[in-house]
Amino acid sequence: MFNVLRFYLAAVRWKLRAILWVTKELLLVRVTNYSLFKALYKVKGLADGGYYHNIKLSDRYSTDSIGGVKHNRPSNAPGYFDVLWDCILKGLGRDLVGLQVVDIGSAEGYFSFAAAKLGGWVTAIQPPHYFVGRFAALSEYFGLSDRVEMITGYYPAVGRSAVLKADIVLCLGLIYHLDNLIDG
Amino acid sequence: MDESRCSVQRPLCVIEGMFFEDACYSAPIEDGRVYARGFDPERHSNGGSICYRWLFDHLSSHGFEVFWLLDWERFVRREGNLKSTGTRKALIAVPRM
Repeated sequence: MFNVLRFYLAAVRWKLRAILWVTKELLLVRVTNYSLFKALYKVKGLADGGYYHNIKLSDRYSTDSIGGVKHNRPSNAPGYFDVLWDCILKGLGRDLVGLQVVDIGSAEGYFSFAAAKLGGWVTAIQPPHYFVGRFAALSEYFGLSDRVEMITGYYPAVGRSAVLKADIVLCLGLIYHLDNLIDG
Repeated sequence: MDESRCSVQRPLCVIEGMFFEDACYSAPIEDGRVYARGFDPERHSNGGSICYRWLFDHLSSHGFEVFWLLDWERFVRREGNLKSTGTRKALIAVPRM
């Protein structure tokens, strides 16, 4: 009788544990999917003209798959911007923790977010454009709003003080957009 | 021009873009002379590309040591990795102490 009772209690305990585990998993999945859904919705809503940067949003989704590709992107090769970032990191030869990074002409912010994820404090400088709204939505999605800021305007008219305080200045796909290469 | 690692000093600059080689720059790039005297759009730019020797010279004469990222050049040269036939390069310019 005692053994039967003990077996019954153990079964109830395991059942409760199973229910708790399933509930937790379901909640986790629901929360994750909700934030992903919100991000995808925003990304799609800001997609007019297509995305310049292919930014990974989850294992399945990227800005390319949701918002399309901007026509003047230099390449549609998969991982194009990832390769450039890897080459830059290899060239720098150290991590970015605590460094001030300025990203001039950030577009949607692939490199700003990549630097912030590695511990950098990033100031992006970008002329008024639909990139600005996308940058804000993506920084919120990645939870990097406290590590990245955007200055809206044309460098060097804006952002010069940020550049003077920076450890690293990124000018990627930028120089052919400058009116004055010497001042820039 | 060589690909090597550099340590971060403040501030360093990472530049990537479209480049070409200006035919006027016939001298060896390592000869120590300064060729970049101002920017001449006729000579130093070509449909959005910038003469990479001019940029190297300009940065060198303004106290930067220039490291070209050759892995990036190798990647963009591979067929299918660029939509256009232009040349893209990337460099890290480190201020000399």
